[in-house]
Amino acid sequence: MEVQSTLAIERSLVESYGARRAEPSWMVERRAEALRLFEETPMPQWDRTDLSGLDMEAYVQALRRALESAPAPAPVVDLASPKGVDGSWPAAVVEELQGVQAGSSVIVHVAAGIETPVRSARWLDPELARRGVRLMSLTEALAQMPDLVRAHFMTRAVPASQGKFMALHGAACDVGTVLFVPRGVQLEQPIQIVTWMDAARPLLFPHTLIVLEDEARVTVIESQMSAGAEAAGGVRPLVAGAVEIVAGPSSRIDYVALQTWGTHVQSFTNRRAVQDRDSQVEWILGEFGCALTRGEFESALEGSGASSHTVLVFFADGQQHLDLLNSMDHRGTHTESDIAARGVLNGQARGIYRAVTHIRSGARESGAYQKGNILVLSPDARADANPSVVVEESEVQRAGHAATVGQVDREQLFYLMSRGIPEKVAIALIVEGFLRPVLDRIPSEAVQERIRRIVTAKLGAA
Amino acid sequence: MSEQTRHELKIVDLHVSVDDKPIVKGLTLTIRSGEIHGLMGPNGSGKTTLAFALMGHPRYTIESGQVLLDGEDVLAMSPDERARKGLFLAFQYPAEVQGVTVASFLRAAVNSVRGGDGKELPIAEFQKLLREKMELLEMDRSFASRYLNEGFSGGEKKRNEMLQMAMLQPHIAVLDETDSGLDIDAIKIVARAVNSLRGPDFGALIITHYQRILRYIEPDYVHVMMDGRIVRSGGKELAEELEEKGYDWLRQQLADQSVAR
Repeated sequence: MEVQSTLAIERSLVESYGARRAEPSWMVERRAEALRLFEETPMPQWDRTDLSGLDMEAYVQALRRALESAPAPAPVVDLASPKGVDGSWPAAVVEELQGVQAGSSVIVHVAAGIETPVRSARWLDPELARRGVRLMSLTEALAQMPDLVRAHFMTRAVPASQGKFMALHGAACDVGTVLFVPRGVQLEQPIQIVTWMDAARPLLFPHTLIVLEDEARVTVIESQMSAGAEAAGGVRPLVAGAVEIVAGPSSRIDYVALQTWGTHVQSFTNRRAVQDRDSQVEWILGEFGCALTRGEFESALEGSGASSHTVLVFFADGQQHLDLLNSMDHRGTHTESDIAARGVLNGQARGIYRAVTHIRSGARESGAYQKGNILVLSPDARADANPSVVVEESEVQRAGHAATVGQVDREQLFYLMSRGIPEKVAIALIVEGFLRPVLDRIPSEAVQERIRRIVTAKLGAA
Repeated sequence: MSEQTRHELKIVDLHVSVDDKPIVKGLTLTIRSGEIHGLMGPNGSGKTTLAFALMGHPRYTIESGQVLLDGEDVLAMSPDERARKGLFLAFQYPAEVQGVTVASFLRAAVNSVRGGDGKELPIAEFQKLLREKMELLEMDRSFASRYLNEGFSGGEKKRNEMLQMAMLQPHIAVLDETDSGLDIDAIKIVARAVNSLRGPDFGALIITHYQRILRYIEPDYVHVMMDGRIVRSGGKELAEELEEKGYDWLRQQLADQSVAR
């Protein structure tokens, strides 16, 4: 039996890491606790996603080096305008910001090599700042809003106990955004968060924490991007990320996340919202990158009258492996949820889509629906669609689900081709039409267009 | 070919089977532009099989025979190539394509057939053409933003086929029972679409079970298909005769003739 000593990381490494970042002692303590959990928690056993090929030793070694020598993040640069990043920033980031809606506040993080400090920049509408909105890096928030972070960072939404990778995240979190919207403040322009990772960086642990007080309202658009080349030394980058949304009474957030990590990245990302009464959380998620991605997304509808809707689009091709779990947890009465997911698989991709709606005893008068459709373009791609609705409450309004996995309809294809449309174009039309019902629900034309371009690029590469 | 004939679809001794079952059993027919041909026949005679085989539907197997469009081998072409060469099929049961609007579909089709090599129709011209043809077919402008054939009534689907034909301006159009399930007013609109294209560059094969539509689109020739081949050809009076006397009459006629030989 193998002695696990190579996987052990000394607590002191985490402590010095936290100290270099000038973090409060409770935060360092949390990191140490998360590290302990990481070492104690066995590797997850997921049905259709085999992690035996994951080189955990290499990752732990990389983590050790990071904890030993990664510098503290650079101070957040305050920009003169939302598009005000100069040529010293990666081209992809500059381009991303060019597309930002006028008047949007933004925060950008660039994670280059482990030895390089993470760079961040921000523009927050002064009017919003005046009204008490805070948009900060995690490091800034630990210094300027420590009570908020202490109360909400990995406490209720995504605790470190949520699996081995979340424990790792809790120990090693290296880049983060904290957004705070005070009572009654309703933002008209979206907040844009951009996180960019260099292709050669072996590890990234990005965190987003959004705290909304009563009747706050915001749209957040988050992009996660990296260059797509194979990492130096052949170790595939590991991303273990978390997004936490704390939705106060009657608050509303439209949270859009576009994941376009490089196709060599292995990502484990949990996103979870904890919802107070009458709050509304709209998830709009696009999953397109990574060699392997496991995503667990959940809304905990704790307060009565809370509602949550998820729109999910994904497109996996080549050798990509996508394992997505969408969950709605109904605890409060009169809560409502809806999941609409549409995905496309091509090449030899593997797509696992699971949706779980849980209506617990006591969640009276709740209603839930979920719909998942996967379109498989190639004979070698494989899809699994698993809807499940668990109802433990007898007085429920409705609870239904539907899931389909299908191929391109040959009659449709023939019909389009009979009008002179070449096969590739016809398939693109069919894919666009297939995604239309979910694309139409995305509240930003710019995001819709971005997704269209990603899909077109993936189809063109086929 | 005379100077008048600009395009020609020549079908020679065509044999087509579906799921190993022979359906078209030696059909020969030439359609030139400037001509309207009616093709009638009882159910099961192979009319739709012929139409699909001409367009290259993958389920239909060509056992033998030739199809030439302007001298080129059609059977060697993919369906989209055939369309780009000027062949058009109006489907009896058009497919529904979710999430694709009539307008975006038409634009893709028009650009594929009429454009290519950067000769795409500018958007303003396309929209003008679309408006014109929709008016011709008495279609409401909102039609263009509906999803292709989704939730369309039978009449709307047929009208949409005619809109496509009007926009693509094919050289040889095959209409597969475009009149089935339509009332007189709808049939007149179909006829209007065909008649508007009539000219030296356009030829059509109107496949129909009944002869009603042939009253509004006067054919130059009428052929009757039975049991996989053309058994009789004539002028438009043949359609009227069949309408009056029925297919059994013709079957009897043919039987008598073969006995008499």
